[in-house]
Amino acid sequence: MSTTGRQDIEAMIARVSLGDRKAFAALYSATSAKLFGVALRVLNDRAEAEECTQEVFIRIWDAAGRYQSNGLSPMTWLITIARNRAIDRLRTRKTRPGDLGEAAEVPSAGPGPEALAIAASDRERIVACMGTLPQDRAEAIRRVYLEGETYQELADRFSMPLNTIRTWLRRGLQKLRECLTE
Amino acid sequence: MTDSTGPDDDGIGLAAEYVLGLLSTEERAACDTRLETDPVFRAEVAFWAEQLATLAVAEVQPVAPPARLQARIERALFPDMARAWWRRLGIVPSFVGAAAAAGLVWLSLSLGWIGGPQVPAVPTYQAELAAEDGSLVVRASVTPEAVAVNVTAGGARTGRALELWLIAGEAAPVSLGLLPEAETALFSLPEGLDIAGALLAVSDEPPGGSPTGAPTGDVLAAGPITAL
Repeated sequence: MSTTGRQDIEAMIARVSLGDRKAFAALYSATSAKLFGVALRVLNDRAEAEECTQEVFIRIWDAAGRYQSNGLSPMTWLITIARNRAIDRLRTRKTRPGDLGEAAEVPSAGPGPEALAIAASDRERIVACMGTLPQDRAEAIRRVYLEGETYQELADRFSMPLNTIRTWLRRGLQKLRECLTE
Repeated sequence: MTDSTGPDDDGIGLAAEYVLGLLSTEERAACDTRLETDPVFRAEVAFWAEQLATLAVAEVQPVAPPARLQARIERALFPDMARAWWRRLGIVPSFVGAAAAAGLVWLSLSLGWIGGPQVPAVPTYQAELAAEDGSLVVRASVTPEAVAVNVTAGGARTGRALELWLIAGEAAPVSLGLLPEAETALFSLPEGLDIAGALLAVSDEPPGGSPTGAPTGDVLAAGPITAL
């Protein structure tokens, strides 16, 4: 990814939306290790992460035409598809209900500074801001985003009543947002 | 937040929970409706999507998926590329030495080919199909009417089957049948196939073979048919 910038990935997605198979192969080369890494982190099983990544790339091929209108940066769009697909699989495995839907369905925020490229400075900022949170709160956010844990699981893990855990996590998210928008 | 145009605390919490996948089905549906009409909420959802994806980029190690995955995805999306992915295996004509040729004679004899009553032709072509890591090796002797195969190493995985394919020119792969558990087997060839320069390949399939008529699993071994 280090040599492939946001504009390169956007161009690949645009060409994929026109049915360009070479662009699809290039997009795969540029992003598959990242997306497979996300699937592996969530699912913690190589065979299942492989199947998940296959579904993700099929989804990318089918939905590339809708990328332009969703207002997300390209890596965010790709990672959201991979993360949501992996977590849907995880929850199916745990036989829990709940479909997270697709990133392609997240409507546009409109063009503007919110549509961030994933520059090193952005990565450093979110990591630094996570570091300003109480440790248990940061851990909970990671567990939810990267491991698909639910409020019930957080309540069990942190020995808190279910009706308290939501306020508790929201307070952490609020603090994270304040740090990120300072 | 002092930003007067920003979302309220509840909007912030809901947007984050929406992206995190923490909402109930009803709450989620309400957010979907709100996203269509509330640009501030929409921007908040996009904000969280960007930030959390950035966290994933920062903290999740990239892991290269196995090489076979790309071929599998392209096969699922572009069935007409079958020929191309056989090629991607880097198949090169292999020279079969004297020992192998002796093996072919043995194979032909054991199948009743040489001097047999029904298949009078002696094999005029051969192919050797080997997995890159040597975990599956299949040797074939070929006439215009039939293919005799001998599995010299490896076999189907538990609960799976091995299917033999012939690919002539740019045509789609033609299934010749499933490899039996026995070491040797004889497959008849459809009429009118141009076998010289065609490929033989073995794919991993569900029991009973490919449900689609085209290879669905990994190609485990492949090799060109060459003149003896």
